[in-house]
Amino acid sequence: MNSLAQPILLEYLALGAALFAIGLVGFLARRNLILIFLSTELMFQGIIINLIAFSCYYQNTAGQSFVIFVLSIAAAEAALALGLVVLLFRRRRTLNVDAWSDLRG
Amino acid sequence: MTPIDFAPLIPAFPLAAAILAALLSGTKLKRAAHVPAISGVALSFFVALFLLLKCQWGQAIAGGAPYVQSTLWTWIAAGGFKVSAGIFLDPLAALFVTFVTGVSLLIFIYSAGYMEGDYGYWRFFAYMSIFVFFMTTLVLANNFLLVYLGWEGVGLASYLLIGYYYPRPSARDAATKAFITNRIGDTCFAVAVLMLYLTFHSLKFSTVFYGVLANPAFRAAHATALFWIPLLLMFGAFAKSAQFPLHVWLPDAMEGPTPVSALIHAATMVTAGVYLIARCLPLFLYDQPVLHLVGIIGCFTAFLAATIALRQFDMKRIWAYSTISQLGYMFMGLGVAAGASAVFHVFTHAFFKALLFLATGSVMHAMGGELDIRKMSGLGKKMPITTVCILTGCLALAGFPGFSGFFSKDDILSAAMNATWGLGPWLAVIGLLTALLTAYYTFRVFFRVFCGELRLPATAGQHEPSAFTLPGPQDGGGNRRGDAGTRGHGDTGKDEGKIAAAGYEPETVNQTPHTTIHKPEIASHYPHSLDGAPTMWLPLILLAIGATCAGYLGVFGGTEGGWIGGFLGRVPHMQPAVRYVVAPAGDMYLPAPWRVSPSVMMLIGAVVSLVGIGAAAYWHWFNRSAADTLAGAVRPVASFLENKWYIDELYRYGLVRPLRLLGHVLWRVDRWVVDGVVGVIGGIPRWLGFSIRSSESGRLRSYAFGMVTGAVLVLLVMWYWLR
Repeated sequence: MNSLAQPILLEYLALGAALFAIGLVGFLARRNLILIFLSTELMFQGIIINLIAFSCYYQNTAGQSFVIFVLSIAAAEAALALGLVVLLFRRRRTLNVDAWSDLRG
Repeated sequence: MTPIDFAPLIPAFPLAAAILAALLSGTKLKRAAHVPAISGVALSFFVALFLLLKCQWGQAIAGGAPYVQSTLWTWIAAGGFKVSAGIFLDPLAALFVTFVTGVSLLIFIYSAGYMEGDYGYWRFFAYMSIFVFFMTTLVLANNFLLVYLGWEGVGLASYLLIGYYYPRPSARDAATKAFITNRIGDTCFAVAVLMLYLTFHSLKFSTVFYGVLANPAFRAAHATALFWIPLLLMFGAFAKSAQFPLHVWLPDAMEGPTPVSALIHAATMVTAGVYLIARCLPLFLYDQPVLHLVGIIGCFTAFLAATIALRQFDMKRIWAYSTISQLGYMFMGLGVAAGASAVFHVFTHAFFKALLFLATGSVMHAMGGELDIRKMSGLGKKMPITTVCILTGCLALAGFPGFSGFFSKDDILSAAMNATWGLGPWLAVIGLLTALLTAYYTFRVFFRVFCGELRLPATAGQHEPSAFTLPGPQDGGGNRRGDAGTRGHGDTGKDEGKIAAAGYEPETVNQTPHTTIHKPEIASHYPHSLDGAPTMWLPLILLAIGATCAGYLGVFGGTEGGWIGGFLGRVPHMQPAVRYVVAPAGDMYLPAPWRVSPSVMMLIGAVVSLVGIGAAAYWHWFNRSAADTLAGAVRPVASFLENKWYIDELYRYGLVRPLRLLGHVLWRVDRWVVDGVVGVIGGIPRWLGFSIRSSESGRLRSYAFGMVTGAVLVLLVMWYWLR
């Protein structure tokens, strides 16, 4: 663990946090189903950057191998989510998420 | 193989027949359901007869022993409690099982003709067979638990058969009434069985009756139990044998088909109570107060039922009350320790009561279901065979000299008269008075229905409408009779008070001409005999022979009590009657001196019977209008008797209504208090859920906001507390 690594880690963590925050805000603010979905992908990427940063920092491969898992699961989930989005669009002819509020109490 | 090894066949055949008849239900052979039933009970009868003959002349019971028993299999084995299914054979059981199966056989043959074409033909024969199965089980059992099985079984079978015409509400009510009334007795019997086990540590007859019971020290140690056991057995027997105050079910039991009434009254049901007390007489003999209570209630019931029968108009109802009355005689006989006389009366009664019911069934068949004695007259010319048969039955029931009922009734009365018990002679006097009433009401029916000018009800010659084709359950009761008031007075609760409002009913029917065909040309429209099919009148003739001759078995063939007395006398507690009473200590039986000799009693009995028949002939044959005048003169009494001493009303207002009220109150308590508490507890989560349901917007973004807020909160918590 050298002293040079410290500022690099911080910057990478800041980048990941920024990506995550952008994704989170998009997730909360957007109404378009596809954009909500893309926002979640952004949050994923923020996490992934965190994992890689720590992987470099601690000089082991656990974080990087986790990234592989996360990416593959994200790919699978993307296929599923896009399929769902297509289905929802066919039902209501709109991508506005507010069209779906059947579970209202 | 010894003869007793054949005994299990007696119940087995009817059971097999019942199963076979039930299996025929879905097949084309269901109209032949009488074949297995009749063969089953016929085979049983032959086995029973074989056993009886072997008991008398063979070595079925080893010389000197009072009984023989066999164990078939272990029925219940639970720790120390072990009960086997087994056969107990002694002269009492042999005689009982023979006449039960014999009379049942004749009733079965009759039923094949009577029930011809009925909707539930196979069901009827399945029930009848199971009835005989349970009765023979009851009689042949070698322990109290097996007796109890048969006891409950006959209760069940009678319930099914009384309610056989289940679309008719009155039939359902009668079945329920019989079952509930019997439950009271069954409960007493069950408790008695438990106490017997606790006292004797066994339920076998051999252990209970022929074991420690003779030991005075044992009796002293268990005095309380030995008081309660006979008392509870007595109530059990009273419910089954329709004795006051549990007699109310029997008159309603005629809602079943007529052969069922014959079976219940003659062979399988009501005799069970007499059998039980006759069997348990050793227990009673050591507990004299209860034995005397049996005699007193029997005597009272005999009188009560005879008076009620005086003012009933439905033929079957009159015979039903006469059965209660005759059963009263039997219990009176048992009450004075004259077991053999009581069993002798059961034996003769089986013949003449089955005969009366079956002959009445023939009348009912011919008259299109009409049974009101005011609506028919002079049937003797139209139904010669039936008339001769029913005359035989009436003579036997009325105790006409030379007929079976005369000898057996006289046996009981003379036993009561000569009992060492001080009240015995008084019972005999009431018994004689009852015999007078019996002769009168019996011949009231006979002279009204079979003598005098010919008059047929409007329904004569028609087929009785089937109970199974009724439009709906609501109007089922009155449909069959055309006039609900002529039958089943008010016991169903629906038409209660109807008779009470009318006061008394006149005995002549001229006030209601539309129900009667008085014209000779219409009456001659039925030129042929109305006796019915040979399967119906042949059993009648056989029963008539039995009703005439059965009494001589109790006169000839033995020194005291005839053949029956001698045969039953081999059972220790069945020693010919009276003159053997329980000694205070030591020996069980001691001879007692005669008070009035049996021949004098016989003479008195004959005179009483003739006077009764003569009175009936005057009022109901020669001068029928005088009967109305007489009834009008004693109107309150007539009304009192017509309403059956208001005992049904007493039950209704004293027991049924308060119970119903209690049930209503409890229902309200359940509804308001119990359900209320449950409702409040169940309402709390419901209310909570209701109050926060508006927080669920159904919007994805608000859920997402909630998730983020939650996550942030968790992070803050971790930040502050877990750092």
